Amino acid sequence: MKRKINKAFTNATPNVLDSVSRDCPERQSAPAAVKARPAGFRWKVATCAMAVILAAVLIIGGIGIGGNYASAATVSLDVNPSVEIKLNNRQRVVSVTALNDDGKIILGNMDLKGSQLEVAVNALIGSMLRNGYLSEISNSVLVSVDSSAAAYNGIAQAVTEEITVLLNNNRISASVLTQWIQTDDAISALAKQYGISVGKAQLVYTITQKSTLYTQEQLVTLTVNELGIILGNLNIQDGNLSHTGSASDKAYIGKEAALAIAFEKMGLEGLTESSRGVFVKENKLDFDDGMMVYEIEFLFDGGEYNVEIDAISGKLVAFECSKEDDCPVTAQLGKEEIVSNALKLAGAPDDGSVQVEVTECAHLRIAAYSLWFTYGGSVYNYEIDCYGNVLYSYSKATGEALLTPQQAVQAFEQANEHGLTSADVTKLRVTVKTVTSSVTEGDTTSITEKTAYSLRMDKDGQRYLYEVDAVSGAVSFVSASEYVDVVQEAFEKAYPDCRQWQYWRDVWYNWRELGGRDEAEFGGHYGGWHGGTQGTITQEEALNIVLEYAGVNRSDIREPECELDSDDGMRYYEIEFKCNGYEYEAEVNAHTGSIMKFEKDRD
Amino acid sequence: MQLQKKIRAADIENYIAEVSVSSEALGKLYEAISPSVYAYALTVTRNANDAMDVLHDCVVKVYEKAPYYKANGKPMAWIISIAKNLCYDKFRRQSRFCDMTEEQLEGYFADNDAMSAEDRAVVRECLYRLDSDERTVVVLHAVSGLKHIEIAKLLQLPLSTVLSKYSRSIKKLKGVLSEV
Repeated sequence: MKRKINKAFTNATPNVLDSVSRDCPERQSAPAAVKARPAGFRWKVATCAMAVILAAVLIIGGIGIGGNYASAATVSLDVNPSVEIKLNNRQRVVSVTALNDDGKIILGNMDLKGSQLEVAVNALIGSMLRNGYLSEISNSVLVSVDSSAAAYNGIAQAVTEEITVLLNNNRISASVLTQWIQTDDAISALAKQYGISVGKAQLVYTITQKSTLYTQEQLVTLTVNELGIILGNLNIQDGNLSHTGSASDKAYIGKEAALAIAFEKMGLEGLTESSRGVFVKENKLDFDDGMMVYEIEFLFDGGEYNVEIDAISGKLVAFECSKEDDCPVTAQLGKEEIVSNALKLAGAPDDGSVQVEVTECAHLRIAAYSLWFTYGGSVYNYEIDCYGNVLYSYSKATGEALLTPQQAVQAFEQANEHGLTSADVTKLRVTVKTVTSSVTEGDTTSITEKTAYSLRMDKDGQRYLYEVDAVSGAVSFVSASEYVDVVQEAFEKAYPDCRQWQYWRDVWYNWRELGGRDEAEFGGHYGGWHGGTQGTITQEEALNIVLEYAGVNRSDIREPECELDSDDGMRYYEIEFKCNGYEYEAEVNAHTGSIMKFEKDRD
Repeated sequence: MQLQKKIRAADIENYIAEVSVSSEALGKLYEAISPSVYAYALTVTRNANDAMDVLHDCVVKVYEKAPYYKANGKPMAWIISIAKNLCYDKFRRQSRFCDMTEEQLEGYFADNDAMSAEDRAVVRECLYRLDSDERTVVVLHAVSGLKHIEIAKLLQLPLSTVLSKYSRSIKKLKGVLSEV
């Protein structure tokens, strides 16, 4: 039956090769320059190097495509030149009109009547390229379509594709803004008032409706490229307006240069985005007060800076700096000061009469001091970091002589639990606490309390907890469990001995709360944990994971494909291959190697 | 043209590569892909004239886009998706397809000397005994040579649905054509 179907439809296929050949421009080598041909043929402009423009219009009669030349749709192209293309219901050109003087230069003597829409667009964009209206510096085209709702998507897509391909051929990344024109008195009035096209007027109108940052008077003077930059910043959700690609910013000094100038003007010359202590919250090109500026916000050394730099001249336009009084970064205390604070907290005199045992410790990698002393029949234990933050406090009245923290550590070392060495002991966090235990005998439950030292240390991904009786020195094991503080680890990588860990940890949590998810955006502060491909498994490893899961051998698979992708900050591999008549598809978490999706279908 | 001999994907990709630099290979490309494109367009439009328009425009578009085609071993999927979009454009422009009746189609193909009586019957039964998805699935597999999984992707149907539609359609056609 399959053969019969194949034969039947093959025999039914008409031969239209002749008319196809007529509509396909001749190629003799690379699809480059198009030669001028006598009337009756239609040619396409293929690259910027070409010097010849479309010459003729083909009326296709052989296939019965006749002529209804009434206008069914209008497509306008705005760059700075503005041209309008009217189409019939077969999307063939009825007429092309220049809407301004630059448009007349573009149009020249072209006769595009009867051409397909794509051909006309190709010719007009090609002309804009040759005449310098489109370039790396100015890559934006506004496409405004006045048609039925049903026809809009098809027309917009076709034109966008044509423009994108042609600019790409000329090594220019295209920025194409497409919009569906809706007749509106306010927009028509705006166009007439400022002598701009209806398309540009609608775009200006749309932006000012969605954002109060700009006025119509400001925006009408801007080029389509500049409007494209603004649109890119605003992330406008509008069903009738779409934007593919990015408007070029090559006419300006660039984000990096602007940031360097901002640092210099703030007296922070030499700093860069990846310098320690610097966090750049924003650096964007925008239109403000009649000029294109870089708006830069960054944090450094407890201060928050807002700086505006002229995008063309690099001059400082405006700035603002505020420092937070309680930022821990700048308030670094000495040992004596910390001891004083602790004595003050306990109400003890700071005259040397109270013997304070001070040990340097690392509390979550922040330099901190553990202070222990007895006063007034009570024992006191504080952990205070170098910024004066009290991280831990304990006090309890006791009549017994208690071991000092140092004595408790010595007792632990002597017990030599889990083969931990003195190097591990230095990571100990030693705190005094009350340990409550209950014993039930028959109907009676007795509760006892004792003062003990809690010893906590991390080694090789394990967290160990011990208790040392503060009276007897007896060591007891509490627990050992897998423990990885990934946030801590990440910042440890970036700041192995920096006292700003706590500050950056808070910045991190604030950033997450504000919706930040792409860790790469957090830059070098993240220690490469999620940034780039560091910390990810390789392609080969991902493939092997899937092969093992599928139970197939590497040597048996065909057409393997593996691609690294990311979604909401999480990187994963997309893997496909064929084996023994089946097609396999899988997704593997690039950080953990876990399989997130697995499908097996008949090939 | 009797039976479209089995055209390998690699051959089609070679022709695409050739036409991207020279129009001499256009004839070979046309011969390789025209039955698939026409058959597909006919199942979608059920109008021989519209299908011919789509065939013409599709080959031209493939020729235009040939320099940008990235070989991936699935040229027919690419070509049929171009044909699919052209069918949709046509539908949107015309607001609908003007289906030919069975009689009109019979009359249209009556002048085609290349078609036997059996061929006309097969085409007729495919277009008028099978529903829209069934005839598309059958033609894409039998004429274009697309795998069921590729058809599922193109038509955005589950693979199991494609498989069942295909086998059901073949059964139906066998049933009606045995009476012819």
